[in-house]
Amino acid sequence: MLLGFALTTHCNLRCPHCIRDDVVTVQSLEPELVIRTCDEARDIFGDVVVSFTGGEPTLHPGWDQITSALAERGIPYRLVTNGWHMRRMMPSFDRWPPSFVRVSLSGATRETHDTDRGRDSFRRVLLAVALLTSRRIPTALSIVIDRRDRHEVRLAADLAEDLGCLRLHYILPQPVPGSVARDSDLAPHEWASVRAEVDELAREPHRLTAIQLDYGAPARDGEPESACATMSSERVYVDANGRVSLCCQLSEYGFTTSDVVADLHEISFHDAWTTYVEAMAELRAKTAPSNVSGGLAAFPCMRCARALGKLDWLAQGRPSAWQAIAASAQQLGSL
Amino acid sequence: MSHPIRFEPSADVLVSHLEGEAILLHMGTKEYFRLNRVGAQVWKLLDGGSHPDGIVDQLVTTFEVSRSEATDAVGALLQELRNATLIREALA
Repeated sequence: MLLGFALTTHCNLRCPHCIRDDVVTVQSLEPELVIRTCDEARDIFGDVVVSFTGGEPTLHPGWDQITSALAERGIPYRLVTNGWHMRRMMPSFDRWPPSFVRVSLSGATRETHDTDRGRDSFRRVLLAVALLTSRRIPTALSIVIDRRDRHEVRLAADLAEDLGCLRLHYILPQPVPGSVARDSDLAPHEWASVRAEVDELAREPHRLTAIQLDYGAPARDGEPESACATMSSERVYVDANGRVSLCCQLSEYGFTTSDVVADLHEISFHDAWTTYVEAMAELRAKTAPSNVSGGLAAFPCMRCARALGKLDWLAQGRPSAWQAIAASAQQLGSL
Repeated sequence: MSHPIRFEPSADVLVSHLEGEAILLHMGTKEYFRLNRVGAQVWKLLDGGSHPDGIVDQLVTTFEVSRSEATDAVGALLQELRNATLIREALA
Protein backbone atom coordinates (compact mmCIF):
# COMPACT_ATOMS: atom_id res chain seq x y z
CA MET A 1 0.00 0.00 0.00
CA LEU A 2 1.22 3.46 -0.86
CA LEU A 3 0.50 5.75 2.07
CA GLY A 4 0.41 9.37 0.92
CA PHE A 5 0.79 12.30 3.28
CA ALA A 6 0.44 15.96 2.46
CA LEU A 7 3.07 16.82 5.04
CA THR A 8 2.38 20.53 4.99
CA THR A 9 0.37 23.10 3.09
CA HIS A 10 3.35 25.42 3.30
CA CYS A 11 4.94 26.20 -0.06
CA ASN A 12 7.41 28.83 -1.14
CA LEU A 13 5.82 29.03 -4.60
CA ARG A 14 2.41 30.17 -5.80
CA CYS A 15 1.85 28.21 -9.00
CA PRO A 16 -1.39 29.28 -10.70
CA HIS A 17 -2.25 25.66 -11.50
CA CYS A 18 -1.95 24.53 -7.86
CA ILE A 19 -4.97 22.41 -6.95
CA ARG A 20 -5.06 23.40 -3.30
CA ASP A 21 -7.79 25.92 -2.49
CA ASP A 22 -5.86 27.64 0.28
CA VAL A 23 -2.18 28.23 -0.35
CA VAL A 24 -1.79 30.85 2.36
CA THR A 25 -2.65 29.07 5.61
CA VAL A 26 0.22 26.98 6.91
CA GLN A 27 -0.89 23.66 8.31
CA SER A 28 1.55 20.82 8.91
CA LEU A 29 1.06 17.26 10.01
CA GLU A 30 2.32 16.32 13.43
CA PRO A 31 5.23 13.86 13.11
CA GLU A 32 3.61 11.66 15.74
CA LEU A 33 0.46 11.35 13.63
CA VAL A 34 2.46 10.39 10.55
CA ILE A 35 4.43 7.74 12.41
CA ARG A 36 1.42 6.35 14.25
CA THR A 37 -0.51 6.11 10.99
CA CYS A 38 2.37 4.29 9.32
CA ASP A 39 2.48 1.78 12.17
CA GLU A 40 -1.25 1.18 11.97
CA ALA A 41 -1.14 0.91 8.19
CA ARG A 42 1.54 -1.76 8.46
CA ASP A 43 -0.71 -3.71 10.82
CA ILE A 44 -3.43 -3.65 8.18
CA PHE A 45 -1.53 -3.93 4.93
CA GLY A 46 1.82 -5.43 5.77
CA ASP A 47 4.40 -3.58 3.73
CA VAL A 48 3.78 0.09 3.09
CA VAL A 49 5.59 2.74 1.09
CA VAL A 50 5.20 6.36 2.12
CA SER A 51 4.85 9.26 -0.30
CA PHE A 52 5.20 12.86 0.83
CA THR A 53 3.52 15.73 -0.99
CA GLY A 54 2.23 19.10 0.09
CA GLY A 55 2.58 22.02 -0.25
CA GLU A 56 6.29 21.60 -0.41
CA PRO A 57 7.08 18.64 1.85
CA THR A 58 10.72 19.60 2.39
CA LEU A 59 9.49 22.65 4.32
CA HIS A 60 8.05 20.49 7.08
CA PRO A 61 9.86 21.42 10.30
CA GLY A 62 9.84 17.82 11.54
CA TRP A 63 11.30 16.27 8.40
CA ASP A 64 14.25 14.62 10.11
CA GLN A 65 12.11 13.28 12.93
CA ILE A 66 9.73 11.69 10.44
CA THR A 67 12.25 10.23 8.02
CA SER A 68 14.49 8.89 10.77
CA ALA A 69 11.47 7.12 12.29
CA LEU A 70 10.64 5.62 8.90
CA ALA A 71 14.23 4.46 8.54
CA GLU A 72 14.10 2.78 11.96
CA ARG A 73 11.05 0.86 10.77
CA GLY A 74 12.48 0.03 7.36
CA ILE A 75 9.68 1.92 5.62
CA PRO A 76 10.79 3.42 2.31
CA TYR A 77 9.62 6.90 1.44
CA ARG A 78 9.45 9.04 -1.66
CA LEU A 79 8.49 12.65 -2.23
CA VAL A 80 7.33 15.21 -4.73
CA THR A 81 9.19 18.50 -4.53
CA ASN A 82 9.68 21.74 -6.40
CA GLY A 83 13.43 21.30 -5.93
CA TRP A 84 14.07 24.68 -4.37
CA HIS A 85 15.47 23.39 -1.10
CA MET A 86 17.47 20.44 -2.32
CA ARG A 87 20.86 21.71 -1.23
CA ARG A 88 19.62 22.21 2.31
CA MET A 89 18.03 18.76 2.26
CA MET A 90 21.10 16.81 1.16
CA PRO A 91 22.57 16.14 4.63
CA SER A 92 19.21 14.67 5.65
CA PHE A 93 18.97 12.68 2.42
CA ASP A 94 22.49 11.37 3.05
CA ARG A 95 21.36 10.02 6.43
CA TRP A 96 17.89 8.79 5.45
CA PRO A 97 17.75 8.63 1.67
CA PRO A 98 14.42 8.62 -0.14
CA SER A 99 13.71 5.72 -2.45
CA PHE A 100 12.51 8.06 -5.16
CA VAL A 101 12.16 11.80 -5.73
CA ARG A 102 9.92 13.49 -8.23
CA VAL A 103 10.85 17.09 -9.08
CA SER A 104 8.10 19.18 -10.62
CA LEU A 105 8.29 21.51 -13.60
CA SER A 106 5.96 24.15 -15.01
CA GLY A 107 7.79 24.22 -18.31
CA ALA A 108 10.70 22.61 -20.12
CA THR A 109 12.56 25.87 -20.60
CA ARG A 110 13.83 28.41 -18.14
CA GLU A 111 11.60 31.10 -19.58
CA THR A 112 8.37 29.12 -19.32
CA HIS A 113 9.13 27.54 -15.96
CA ASP A 114 10.39 30.69 -14.27
CA THR A 115 7.43 32.73 -15.51
CA ASP A 116 5.25 30.56 -13.28
CA ARG A 117 7.66 29.72 -10.49
CA GLY A 118 9.87 32.74 -10.19
CA ARG A 119 13.38 33.67 -11.16
CA ASP A 120 16.02 31.00 -10.58
CA SER A 121 13.46 28.20 -10.26
CA PHE A 122 14.51 26.34 -13.40
CA ARG A 123 18.16 26.43 -12.39
CA ARG A 124 17.22 25.03 -9.00
CA VAL A 125 15.35 22.14 -10.59
CA LEU A 126 18.35 21.21 -12.71
CA LEU A 127 20.67 21.42 -9.73
CA ALA A 128 18.25 19.41 -7.63
CA VAL A 129 18.35 16.61 -10.17
CA ALA A 130 22.16 16.81 -10.26
CA LEU A 131 22.39 16.63 -6.46
CA LEU A 132 20.04 13.65 -6.29
CA THR A 133 21.83 11.88 -9.09
CA SER A 134 25.18 12.45 -7.38
CA ARG A 135 23.76 10.29 -4.54
CA ARG A 136 22.26 7.77 -6.95
CA ILE A 137 18.81 8.60 -5.64
CA PRO A 138 16.32 7.60 -8.36
CA THR A 139 14.84 10.78 -9.76
CA ALA A 140 11.92 11.68 -11.98
CA LEU A 141 10.66 14.89 -13.45
CA SER A 142 7.01 15.78 -13.78
CA ILE A 143 5.62 18.56 -15.91
CA VAL A 144 2.22 20.17 -16.04
CA ILE A 145 1.04 20.59 -19.62
CA ASP A 146 -1.31 23.44 -20.39
CA ARG A 147 -1.60 26.18 -22.99
CA ARG A 148 1.63 27.85 -21.85
CA ASP A 149 3.88 24.88 -22.50
CA ARG A 150 1.86 22.66 -24.83
CA HIS A 151 4.61 23.15 -27.38
CA GLU A 152 7.29 21.93 -24.95
CA VAL A 153 6.18 18.31 -24.64
CA ARG A 154 9.12 17.02 -26.66
CA LEU A 155 11.55 19.43 -25.03
CA ALA A 156 10.58 18.03 -21.65
CA ALA A 157 11.32 14.50 -22.77
CA ASP A 158 14.71 15.57 -24.08
CA LEU A 159 15.49 17.44 -20.87
CA ALA A 160 14.63 14.45 -18.69
CA GLU A 161 16.72 12.25 -20.95
CA ASP A 162 19.71 14.60 -20.86
CA LEU A 163 19.55 14.85 -17.09
CA GLY A 164 19.48 11.09 -16.69
CA CYS A 165 16.07 10.97 -15.03
CA LEU A 166 14.51 7.56 -14.66
CA ARG A 167 11.04 8.79 -15.49
CA LEU A 168 9.14 11.75 -16.84
CA HIS A 169 5.52 12.24 -15.88
CA TYR A 170 3.25 14.47 -17.92
CA ILE A 171 0.34 15.91 -15.98
CA LEU A 172 -2.83 17.25 -17.56
CA PRO A 173 -4.04 19.47 -14.74
CA GLN A 174 -7.65 19.83 -13.74
CA PRO A 175 -8.95 23.40 -13.94
CA VAL A 176 -8.53 25.59 -10.86
CA PRO A 177 -9.50 29.22 -10.28
CA GLY A 178 -5.97 30.36 -11.08
CA SER A 179 -5.82 28.55 -14.40
CA VAL A 180 -9.32 29.64 -15.39
CA ALA A 181 -8.49 33.25 -14.56
CA ARG A 182 -5.51 33.28 -16.87
CA ASP A 183 -7.11 30.99 -19.45
CA SER A 184 -4.23 28.50 -19.41
CA ASP A 185 -6.24 25.27 -19.35
CA LEU A 186 -6.19 23.07 -22.39
CA ALA A 187 -9.70 22.37 -23.57
CA PRO A 188 -10.96 18.84 -22.91
CA HIS A 189 -10.68 17.84 -26.55
CA GLU A 190 -7.01 18.88 -26.57
CA TRP A 191 -6.05 16.28 -23.97
CA ALA A 192 -6.24 13.51 -26.53
CA SER A 193 -3.58 15.11 -28.71
CA VAL A 194 -1.26 15.40 -25.70
CA ARG A 195 -1.80 11.74 -24.97
CA ALA A 196 -1.00 10.88 -28.58
CA GLU A 197 2.21 12.92 -28.53
CA VAL A 198 3.32 11.44 -25.21
CA ASP A 199 2.60 7.93 -26.49
CA GLU A 200 4.68 8.66 -29.56
CA LEU A 201 7.61 9.94 -27.49
CA ALA A 202 7.41 6.91 -25.22
CA ARG A 203 7.78 4.64 -28.22
CA GLU A 204 10.97 6.29 -29.48
CA PRO A 205 13.58 3.55 -29.22
CA HIS A 206 16.53 5.70 -28.18
CA ARG A 207 14.95 6.95 -24.98
CA LEU A 208 16.23 5.59 -21.68
CA THR A 209 13.90 7.77 -19.60
CA ALA A 210 10.51 6.13 -19.14
CA ILE A 211 7.78 8.46 -20.30
CA GLN A 212 4.23 8.38 -19.08
CA LEU A 213 1.07 10.41 -18.87
CA ASP A 214 -0.32 10.55 -15.35
CA TYR A 215 -3.81 9.32 -14.66
CA GLY A 216 -6.78 11.46 -15.61
CA ALA A 217 -6.82 11.59 -19.39
CA PRO A 218 -9.45 9.74 -21.41
CA ALA A 219 -8.59 6.16 -22.28
CA ARG A 220 -7.06 5.53 -25.67
CA ASP A 221 -9.50 4.72 -28.45
CA GLY A 222 -10.58 1.13 -28.21
CA GLU A 223 -9.03 0.58 -24.79
CA PRO A 224 -11.08 0.15 -21.63
CA GLU A 225 -10.59 2.68 -18.87
CA SER A 226 -8.48 1.40 -16.02
CA ALA A 227 -9.11 2.33 -12.41
CA CYS A 228 -6.67 4.70 -10.76
CA ALA A 229 -4.34 3.49 -8.00
CA THR A 230 -6.55 5.07 -5.36
CA MET A 231 -9.71 3.35 -6.54
CA SER A 232 -7.76 0.13 -6.89
CA SER A 233 -6.94 0.38 -3.17
CA GLU A 234 -3.23 0.61 -3.90
CA ARG A 235 -2.98 4.07 -2.37
CA VAL A 236 -4.56 5.96 0.51
CA TYR A 237 -4.03 9.59 1.34
CA VAL A 238 -3.90 11.77 4.44
CA ASP A 239 -4.12 15.53 4.05
CA ALA A 240 -2.13 18.16 5.95
CA ASN A 241 -4.94 18.42 8.51
CA GLY A 242 -4.60 14.76 9.39
CA ARG A 243 -7.75 13.73 7.56
CA VAL A 244 -8.11 10.62 5.44
CA SER A 245 -9.28 11.75 2.01
CA LEU A 246 -10.77 9.80 -0.87
CA CYS A 247 -8.21 11.25 -3.28
CA CYS A 248 -4.99 13.24 -3.09
CA GLN A 249 -5.85 14.93 -6.37
CA LEU A 250 -9.20 16.13 -5.06
CA SER A 251 -8.12 16.94 -1.53
CA GLU A 252 -8.49 20.60 -0.60
CA TYR A 253 -9.82 21.21 -4.10
CA GLY A 254 -13.18 22.61 -5.15
CA PHE A 255 -13.92 24.48 -1.92
CA THR A 256 -15.58 21.54 -0.21
CA THR A 257 -14.36 18.82 2.12
CA SER A 258 -16.64 16.17 0.65
CA ASP A 259 -13.57 14.01 0.03
CA VAL A 260 -12.78 13.76 3.74
CA VAL A 261 -13.61 10.43 5.31
CA ALA A 262 -12.15 10.67 8.79
CA ASP A 263 -9.98 12.79 11.04
CA LEU A 264 -7.02 10.87 12.43
CA HIS A 265 -6.96 13.23 15.39
CA GLU A 266 -10.28 11.74 16.41
CA ILE A 267 -10.17 8.10 15.37
CA SER A 268 -7.49 5.54 14.64
CA PHE A 269 -6.38 4.69 11.14
CA HIS A 270 -7.78 1.21 11.73
CA ASP A 271 -11.26 2.63 12.24
CA ALA A 272 -10.82 5.20 9.47
CA TRP A 273 -9.94 2.46 7.02
CA THR A 274 -13.27 0.71 7.51
CA THR A 275 -15.12 3.94 6.79
CA TYR A 276 -12.82 4.68 3.87
CA VAL A 277 -13.48 1.36 2.16
CA GLU A 278 -17.23 1.93 2.32
CA ALA A 279 -16.97 5.50 1.06
CA MET A 280 -14.64 4.50 -1.75
CA ALA A 281 -17.03 1.76 -2.87
CA GLU A 282 -19.81 4.33 -3.01
CA LEU A 283 -17.68 6.77 -4.99
CA ARG A 284 -16.55 4.03 -7.35
CA ALA A 285 -20.13 3.12 -8.14
CA LYS A 286 -21.21 6.74 -8.45
CA THR A 287 -18.45 7.61 -10.89
CA ALA A 288 -18.48 4.54 -13.08
CA PRO A 289 -18.50 5.69 -16.72
CA SER A 290 -21.86 4.00 -17.21
CA ASN A 291 -23.35 6.19 -14.48
CA VAL A 292 -22.26 9.51 -15.95
CA SER A 293 -23.41 11.10 -19.17
CA GLY A 294 -22.20 14.13 -21.07
CA GLY A 295 -18.73 15.32 -21.92
CA LEU A 296 -17.18 14.54 -18.55
CA ALA A 297 -17.83 10.82 -18.92
CA ALA A 298 -14.46 10.25 -20.55
CA PHE A 299 -12.49 12.09 -17.85
CA PRO A 300 -12.16 9.90 -14.76
CA CYS A 301 -10.74 12.46 -12.31
CA MET A 302 -13.25 15.07 -13.40
CA ARG A 303 -16.07 12.58 -12.92
CA CYS A 304 -14.94 12.12 -9.34
CA ALA A 305 -14.58 15.86 -8.86
CA ARG A 306 -18.11 16.42 -10.03
CA ALA A 307 -19.50 13.55 -7.99
CA LEU A 308 -17.95 15.10 -4.88
CA GLY A 309 -19.37 18.52 -5.68
CA LYS A 310 -15.94 19.93 -6.44
CA LEU A 311 -16.75 21.52 -9.78
CA ASP A 312 -19.52 23.81 -8.59
CA TRP A 313 -17.11 26.76 -8.48
CA LEU A 314 -16.60 26.44 -12.26
CA ALA A 315 -20.10 27.76 -12.87
CA GLN A 316 -19.18 31.04 -11.19
CA GLY A 317 -15.94 31.53 -13.09
CA ARG A 318 -15.29 32.97 -16.52
CA PRO A 319 -16.72 30.95 -19.40
CA SER A 320 -14.48 28.07 -20.42
CA ALA A 321 -14.64 24.77 -22.21
CA TRP A 322 -14.48 22.96 -18.88
CA GLN A 323 -17.34 25.04 -17.53
CA ALA A 324 -19.50 24.04 -20.46
CA ILE A 325 -18.62 20.38 -20.26
CA ALA A 326 -19.15 20.25 -16.49
CA ALA A 327 -22.54 21.89 -16.86
CA SER A 328 -23.53 19.33 -19.47
CA ALA A 329 -22.65 16.35 -17.28
CA GLN A 330 -25.47 14.57 -15.61
CA GLN A 331 -25.48 11.95 -12.97
CA LEU A 332 -27.53 8.96 -14.03
CA GLY A 333 -29.39 6.61 -11.76
CA SER A 334 -30.07 7.12 -8.11
CA LEU A 335 -26.57 6.56 -6.73
CA MET B 1 55.36 30.17 -12.00
CA SER B 2 53.84 27.47 -14.21
CA HIS B 3 50.30 28.86 -14.50
CA PRO B 4 50.39 32.13 -16.40
CA ILE B 5 46.69 32.11 -17.34
CA ARG B 6 43.78 32.88 -15.06
CA PHE B 7 40.59 30.85 -15.43
CA GLU B 8 36.97 31.42 -14.51
CA PRO B 9 33.88 29.21 -14.35
CA SER B 10 32.03 28.88 -17.62
CA ALA B 11 28.73 30.72 -17.74
CA ASP B 12 27.09 27.40 -18.66
CA VAL B 13 27.91 25.79 -15.34
CA LEU B 14 25.65 25.54 -12.31
CA VAL B 15 27.27 24.72 -9.00
CA SER B 16 25.99 23.64 -5.62
CA HIS B 17 28.39 23.53 -2.69
CA LEU B 18 27.73 20.95 -0.02
CA GLU B 19 29.72 20.02 3.05
CA GLY B 20 33.10 18.93 1.73
CA GLU B 21 32.15 18.71 -1.93
CA ALA B 22 30.58 20.50 -4.86
CA ILE B 23 28.26 19.31 -7.60
CA LEU B 24 28.66 20.90 -11.02
CA LEU B 25 26.13 20.72 -13.82
CA HIS B 26 27.06 21.78 -17.34
CA MET B 27 23.91 23.29 -18.79
CA GLY B 28 25.00 22.62 -22.33
CA THR B 29 25.90 18.96 -22.07
CA LYS B 30 23.73 18.29 -18.97
CA GLU B 31 26.68 16.36 -17.55
CA TYR B 32 27.26 16.28 -13.80
CA PHE B 33 30.61 16.49 -12.03
CA ARG B 34 31.38 15.92 -8.40
CA LEU B 35 34.32 17.72 -6.85
CA ASN B 36 35.86 16.52 -3.61
CA ARG B 37 36.85 18.83 -0.78
CA VAL B 38 40.01 20.03 -2.51
CA GLY B 39 38.30 20.40 -5.87
CA ALA B 40 35.44 22.32 -4.30
CA GLN B 41 37.95 24.66 -2.66
CA VAL B 42 39.71 25.19 -5.99
CA TRP B 43 36.37 25.97 -7.62
CA LYS B 44 35.52 28.55 -4.98
CA LEU B 45 38.90 30.21 -5.48
CA LEU B 46 38.48 30.22 -9.26
CA ASP B 47 35.03 31.71 -8.84
CA GLY B 48 36.51 34.37 -6.60
CA GLY B 49 38.95 35.40 -9.30
CA SER B 50 42.08 33.75 -7.94
CA HIS B 51 45.03 33.15 -10.21
CA PRO B 52 46.33 29.55 -10.28
CA ASP B 53 49.40 30.64 -8.31
CA GLY B 54 47.13 32.00 -5.61
CA ILE B 55 45.14 28.78 -5.59
CA VAL B 56 48.32 26.77 -5.06
CA ASP B 57 49.26 29.06 -2.18
CA GLN B 58 45.88 28.50 -0.58
CA LEU B 59 46.05 24.73 -0.94
CA VAL B 60 49.52 24.60 0.58
CA THR B 61 48.23 26.52 3.58
CA THR B 62 44.86 24.83 3.97
CA PHE B 63 45.73 21.22 3.28
CA GLU B 64 49.36 21.18 4.44
CA VAL B 65 50.75 19.71 1.23
CA SER B 66 53.98 20.56 -0.52
CA ARG B 67 54.01 23.27 -3.16
CA SER B 68 55.03 20.69 -5.73
CA GLU B 69 52.07 18.45 -4.88
CA ALA B 70 49.66 21.37 -4.88
CA THR B 71 50.98 22.66 -8.22
CA ASP B 72 50.56 19.25 -9.84
CA ALA B 73 47.08 18.79 -8.38
CA VAL B 74 45.86 22.22 -9.46
CA GLY B 75 47.33 21.80 -12.94
CA ALA B 76 45.67 18.43 -13.41
CA LEU B 77 42.31 19.63 -12.13
CA LEU B 78 42.35 22.76 -14.30
CA GLN B 79 43.10 20.61 -17.32
CA GLU B 80 40.16 18.32 -16.52
CA LEU B 81 37.87 21.26 -15.98
CA ARG B 82 38.97 22.82 -19.25
CA ASN B 83 38.48 19.58 -21.15
CA ALA B 84 34.92 19.42 -19.86
CA THR B 85 34.45 23.15 -20.74
CA LEU B 86 33.55 23.83 -17.14
CA ILE B 87 36.07 26.70 -17.02
CA ARG B 88 37.42 29.11 -19.56
CA GLU B 89 40.28 31.56 -19.77
CA ALA B 90 39.37 34.74 -17.96
CA LEU B 91 38.87 37.70 -20.23
CA ALA B 92 40.78 40.12 -18.06
